[in-house]
Amino acid sequence: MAMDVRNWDEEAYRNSILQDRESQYRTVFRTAFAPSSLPHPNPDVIVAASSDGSVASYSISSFGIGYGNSRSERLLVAEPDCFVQAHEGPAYDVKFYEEGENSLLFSCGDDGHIRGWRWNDMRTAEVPIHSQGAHLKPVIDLVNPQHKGPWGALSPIPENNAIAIDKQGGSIYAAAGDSCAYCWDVETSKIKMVYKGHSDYLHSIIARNSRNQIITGSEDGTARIWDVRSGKCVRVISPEKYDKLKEISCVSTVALDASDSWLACGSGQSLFIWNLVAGEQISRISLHSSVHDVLFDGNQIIAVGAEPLVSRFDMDGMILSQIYCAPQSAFSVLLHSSGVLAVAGYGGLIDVISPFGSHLCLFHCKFVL
Amino acid sequence: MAQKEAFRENIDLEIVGSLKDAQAFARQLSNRDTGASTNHETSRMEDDVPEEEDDDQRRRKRPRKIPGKDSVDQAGIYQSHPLRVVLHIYEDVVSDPKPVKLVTLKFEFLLKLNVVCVGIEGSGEGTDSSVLCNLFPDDTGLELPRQSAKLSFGDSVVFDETRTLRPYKWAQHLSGLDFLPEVSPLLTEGETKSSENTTSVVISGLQLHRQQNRTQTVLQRVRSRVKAHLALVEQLDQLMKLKWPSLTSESVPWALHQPLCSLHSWSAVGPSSDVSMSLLGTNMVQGEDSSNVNLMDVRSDTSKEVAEFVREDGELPTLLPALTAASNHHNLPVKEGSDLDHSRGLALMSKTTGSPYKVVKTQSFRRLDEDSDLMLDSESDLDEPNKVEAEAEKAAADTDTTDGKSWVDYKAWEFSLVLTRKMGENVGDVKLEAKVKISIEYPLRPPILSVDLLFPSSGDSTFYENAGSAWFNELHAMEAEVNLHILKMLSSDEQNYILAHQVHCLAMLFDFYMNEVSEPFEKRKSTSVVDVGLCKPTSGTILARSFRGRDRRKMLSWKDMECAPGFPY
Repeated sequence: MAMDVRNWDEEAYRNSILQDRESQYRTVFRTAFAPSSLPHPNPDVIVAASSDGSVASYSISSFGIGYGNSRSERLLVAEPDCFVQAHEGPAYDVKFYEEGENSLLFSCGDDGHIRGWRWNDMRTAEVPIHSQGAHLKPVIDLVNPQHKGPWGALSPIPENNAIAIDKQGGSIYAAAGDSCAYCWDVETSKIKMVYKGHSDYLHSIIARNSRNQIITGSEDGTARIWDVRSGKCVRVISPEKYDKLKEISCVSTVALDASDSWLACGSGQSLFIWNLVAGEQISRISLHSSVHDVLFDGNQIIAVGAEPLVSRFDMDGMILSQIYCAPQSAFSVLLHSSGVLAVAGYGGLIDVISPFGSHLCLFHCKFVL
Repeated sequence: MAQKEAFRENIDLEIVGSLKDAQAFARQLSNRDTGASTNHETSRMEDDVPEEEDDDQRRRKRPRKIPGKDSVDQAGIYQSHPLRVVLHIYEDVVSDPKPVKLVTLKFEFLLKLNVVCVGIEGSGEGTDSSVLCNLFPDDTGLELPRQSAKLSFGDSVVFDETRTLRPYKWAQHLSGLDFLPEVSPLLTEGETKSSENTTSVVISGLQLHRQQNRTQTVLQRVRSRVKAHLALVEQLDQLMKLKWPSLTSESVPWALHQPLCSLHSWSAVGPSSDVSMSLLGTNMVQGEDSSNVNLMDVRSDTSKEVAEFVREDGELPTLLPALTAASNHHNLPVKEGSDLDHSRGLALMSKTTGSPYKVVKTQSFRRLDEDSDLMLDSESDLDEPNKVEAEAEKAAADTDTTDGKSWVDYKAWEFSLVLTRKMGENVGDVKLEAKVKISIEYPLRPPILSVDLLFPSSGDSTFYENAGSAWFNELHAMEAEVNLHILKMLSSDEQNYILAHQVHCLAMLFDFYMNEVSEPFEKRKSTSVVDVGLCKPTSGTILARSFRGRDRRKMLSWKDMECAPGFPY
């Protein structure tokens, strides 16, 4: 791209600077590890949903990570192996539906669509990377319904902030911006159930498959448990706040542990741990910044938020460790079966951290436009 | 050794055509001398056949041979050739009856280094010549572009930065040095065989020169750069006087917005620390990729919490990463030096909670070695928050030789802008502080603003504390808006006034966010509609949302030319 007086193209130069900047201001909202056929694989491919609407896959094993042999790592600017321009507006969530040969990759975004892509097709696309984007058509395309207002006016299509998969029931649950959660049937592409009750838009949703329930977290400051079949709200979980006025009150993230009996809600700068069996709040953890994503790792809780730290807590709320991570504000933390963590957020950065805390690989997603 | 000298007088070539054009003429500055000299290098500036073109820019230079040496002073490497070319560049606007002179460039040829140097005529001690820096990317004029010079003088030559005339790469291309034979044909007269080859090489080179429109390109770049510079100076002037810089276009929303906040201060922070650019070898400094831009977003408000946390052994690396496949081993220390400079330079920009930081002003080249180590130690207390910044390295192993982007920062200016907004009677003002970094390539490389919010701490309105992470997403969104998105909305005429647009847009966003703060968010707006007309009464509420998305962006919706918070309104 070297330009000098001999081949000067001012427009191209200006555009290249702007493009460079664009990729600095992108945010990766969610990552997912691609399914692998090996029984105990090391993480190989990671898929990222980002604020430019793209769902892209990166092959981290090719970045030459050495497991624990060097303390240093370098910031790579990584080009994706393949990508699709999944949504107009940011893509908020990406989840794999089904392992194996016919796995589908579902993504949801700001445009209110949930799209399903055939993972194999995406991976093996013959199109060169710079022409990718619109080359693949989704096999499933679900659109949120619009509400009818006075005089037949249609509300704008609400966005989808998160999706949850229930493979057994063949359903996808979506947390939508119109304060409702939807259950979609994958086979028929129709809405099976609507869950109404929240008073503000939903941030997150998870499936509690063992009890046929889903749990949603919303901007209105509550988390609700719903019965899948009947659509009724079984319980409202309202995290207590110390100071009603000053705190940001929204439940931005919910997570369940492996036994489906413990629930972690991230709300503002606090994490609330509930025992669902007993039905009460067990502990509250205060953080220095808003929580964006949380998950359970055994009986430990890992949380990331609007600060460049990955924090680990135990169930009582005692802080176990904090590691620096690269994104200044992280929106997604993801645990691989091998214990590897992937943290993603601002600046298009994905940070892959080993179970021992060392940074395996850190890359900046280069967005191919 | 016999020496031959010959020179031809240069004739001032006139431009045909009624428009203002560059006029070239050269003066003879010294007489020839008959001293003995063994090193005799000449070059030829070849003729540029005048080309007729629509925009009527033309320029011509005659070929001339330049006498060899000056016997009086042979030791200096900066010995310049007696003949120089002075080029006046005029505005190319058709309608002016009289040509308005924009700038005058002076070209000279340095004998020993075999390079052509350019500078601005009549400039002071190098202050104005910096306008020509980075006219084309990666061309700060401090590196010797020609292989021969490097070979003959080894790697230890550092081009003196205090000289006003710099060997820019484009100057070499312009004068055709890239295809002219290194040694004057006069010297090689004995070898008749090669003379034909060289002539044909020269001719094909000339054709290339013409095809690539080198002259036009250079002229156009110089013109636009000078004009941009003038516009920038004008805007900076207005900001210095704490006046909102004037916007010529009214077709963008923020132009019509009356700022509710006030422009509190605008001050220069000093030139950003020059990244060391030694002239080691031909490879550019590797490593620092363009994440100097990326790191603008670095926030280091974790500095106070750092000490308390248990850190696992997986800490982010310190500022000296191990380089693996570095292609030049002796570039390694250079890289460290530049890392530190960068990190420190960026430490100025990342927000700190009041801890003092040194303003690093370096104009001269930094030598690698001990300096780097010293600086590493002294900066250790600022290390932790800046550790994240150290990540901005391209993997040397995975990419091929990439240019270090350190040249981007060369001669960039930094300013600090503060906007304030009154929040009420008893409460102090809220301040928005922005560090503005303007590069020499303005406006092709638009200025970068990194913002920070300071709220008056309770009880005492003279103390300010950082907003903390509650406002993190908003600040990031503001930066993305101002540094990137609005640039797409500007037309090409407005390019020179990008800074003014950015300042206005920032003020507008600040106003909106502060408006939200002053109205508590519990008062969520909802409109209820009851229809009592002919049809049966319907009632419904349209909930207007202020936030959207997982990152809880505050929504600003554009309604024609006005911006309304929330959607729909």
